[in-house]
Amino acid sequence: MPVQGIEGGHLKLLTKRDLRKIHEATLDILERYGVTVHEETALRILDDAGATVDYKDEVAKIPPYLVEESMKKAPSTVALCGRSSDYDVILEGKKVYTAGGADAIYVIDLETRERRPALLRDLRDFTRLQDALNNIHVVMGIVDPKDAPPLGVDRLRCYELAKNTEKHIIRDAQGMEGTRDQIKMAAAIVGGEEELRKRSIISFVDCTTSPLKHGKTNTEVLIEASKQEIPVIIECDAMAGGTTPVTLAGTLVVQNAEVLSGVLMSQLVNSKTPVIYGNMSSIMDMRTANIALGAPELGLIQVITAQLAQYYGIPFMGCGGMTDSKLLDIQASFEKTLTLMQAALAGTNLIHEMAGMLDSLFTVSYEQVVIDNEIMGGIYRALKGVKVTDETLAEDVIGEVGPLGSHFLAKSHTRRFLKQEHWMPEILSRERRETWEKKGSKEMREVARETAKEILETHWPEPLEKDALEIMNEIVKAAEQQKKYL
Amino acid sequence: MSEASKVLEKLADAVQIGDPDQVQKLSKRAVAMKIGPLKIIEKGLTLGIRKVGELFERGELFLPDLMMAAEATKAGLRVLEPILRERKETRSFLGRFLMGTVEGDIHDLGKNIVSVMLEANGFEVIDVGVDVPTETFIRKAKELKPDILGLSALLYTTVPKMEEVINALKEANLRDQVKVMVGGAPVTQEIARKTGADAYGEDAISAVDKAIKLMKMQN
Repeated sequence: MPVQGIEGGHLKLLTKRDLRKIHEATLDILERYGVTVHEETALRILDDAGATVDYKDEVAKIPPYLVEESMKKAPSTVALCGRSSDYDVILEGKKVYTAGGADAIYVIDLETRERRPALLRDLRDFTRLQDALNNIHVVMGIVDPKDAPPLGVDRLRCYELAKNTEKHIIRDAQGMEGTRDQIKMAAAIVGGEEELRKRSIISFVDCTTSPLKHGKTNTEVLIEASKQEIPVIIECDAMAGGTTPVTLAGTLVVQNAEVLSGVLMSQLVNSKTPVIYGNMSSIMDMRTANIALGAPELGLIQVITAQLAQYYGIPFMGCGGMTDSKLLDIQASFEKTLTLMQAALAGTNLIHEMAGMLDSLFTVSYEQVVIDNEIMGGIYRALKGVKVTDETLAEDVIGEVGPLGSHFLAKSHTRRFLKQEHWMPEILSRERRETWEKKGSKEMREVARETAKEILETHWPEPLEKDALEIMNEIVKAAEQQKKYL
Repeated sequence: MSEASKVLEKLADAVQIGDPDQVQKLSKRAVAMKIGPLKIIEKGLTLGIRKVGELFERGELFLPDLMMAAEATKAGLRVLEPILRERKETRSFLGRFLMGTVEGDIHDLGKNIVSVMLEANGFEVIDVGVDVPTETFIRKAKELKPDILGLSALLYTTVPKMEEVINALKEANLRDQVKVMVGGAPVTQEIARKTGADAYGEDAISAVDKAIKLMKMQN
């Protein structure tokens, strides 16, 4: 049975009219100014479909009808399957799921607590840790290991991810070859490419470049994944004030133009390919020129992008739970909870980067993964809301205990509804001070550290078949031998 | 496994699930099979509730599970106690615990939880209720000769009453015959010491631990 999704979407900031205005401005930008596409196949596909293409500047101006048709045809439900169907995640409507962190280059060592470069063993351990935690549903390449060879690192990461989790994995790729190889690797696991198309355990991210550009490598990924009908996320990472207008509405127009033109290219290649609207857009901090990833503006962009994706009827992968803090501290908790809550209330179908990430995504922490899993648990409870039925109003049991009774603890009603009504935190402290002191007066980080260690000592996902491992290994080795990067 | 052990095992399971009807049915069946009531209590009811207590301490079960198991145990005792009396047998308890909420306070949730846990761990608990005047505690202590007197309070304002009861015990020359435990939300180790109590539990589990320790010190 797939993971049971919890519905978000309680929070809406824009009216339908506002959304339509953003949509119309988007169409206008695409038609009048177009997008740069640094990839010739894609330009030809757009040209053939009716766009006006300038091959010298690599700019395609796209008529509105093309965009509108492709948005109508794009599938409204996308299944991100796990190696085990218990981990299948069905993105649709306002259901909220999560995906872990991606691409940190430093880790905070679990033993020394010092920051050091991320290594391959961290990739394995972080992946296993996320595999074990209930509120993380999809796994990404959480670190870029320093000890990995630069060539074919995308295949190597794919190999390590697939080995260390049974959950769905989202991948980046070094262009067309990298995409092809990783699809072959995933196919080896599930028993062939036909099987993979039915139940894909892998999906790809195509990141656009603001303003209004589709880079070569990412467009290759988009086209190759689309050809093979593997789910693809078209993700805009705008920086309001820097790469997009300072106004959030203007940023949303640029973001929308990039993503919609990406969806169009994917749809033109293969209209059956599942596409996901993606983003990690925020503001540029004008004191430092850095992107602010724990900002409330990032949360606002999540809410409105979720509304836009719902308006178009395609799934949305947003983000939340990031922080610009360098430490596991109060700023981290504040920024994480704020943006995660915003993304969840928006009904973001997949909130990515929500586990373990610190330091504007440069650093990842084992303890923080456990803490973020806990934060998400609380947020899920908040999303569930309150159900009012005859049974939950509980008149019968109120009467049974009555004004003469003492408590409801021994009532079967209590036990029956306990688990659906009350969230049970796993690492928060709710004991009395003296009990807490007896247990060592531990800070949450300390408890999270112990939990992470225990999981890493005991949790091992189902191993892959020998044949699949061999095929994957060969692909990884061959990619390392390439003559040049990409 | 013998038929008798099977029934007792099922009885322990029924206590664990917190099913009073099933517990009564199985207790009656065990009696019909000529298993002695003391053995039924020890190998059935007590075993079941101990298991629940352990799972609760490990965080695998929650308070409602514990309280329902306690209710189920009581349901079993309602079947077995008359038979014990008939056979003029008595249960052996770890100790007799007199329990009540002090005067001015009608909160009883914490007291009731602790009572249940004490019973589950082999104490005989006599609960004198809430808003109990000091004189009543003294009278009951004289009459019932408990090993431990437990004083509970939720309101900070009623904490001085605990000291009053302890002083009254001294005046009645009872203080060396009964150990006193205090507990409740406002009570801390510091306050417990000030009232002159022998022990204090910061939660139900620690209250039981302390009570067991007090009994060991006495013997």
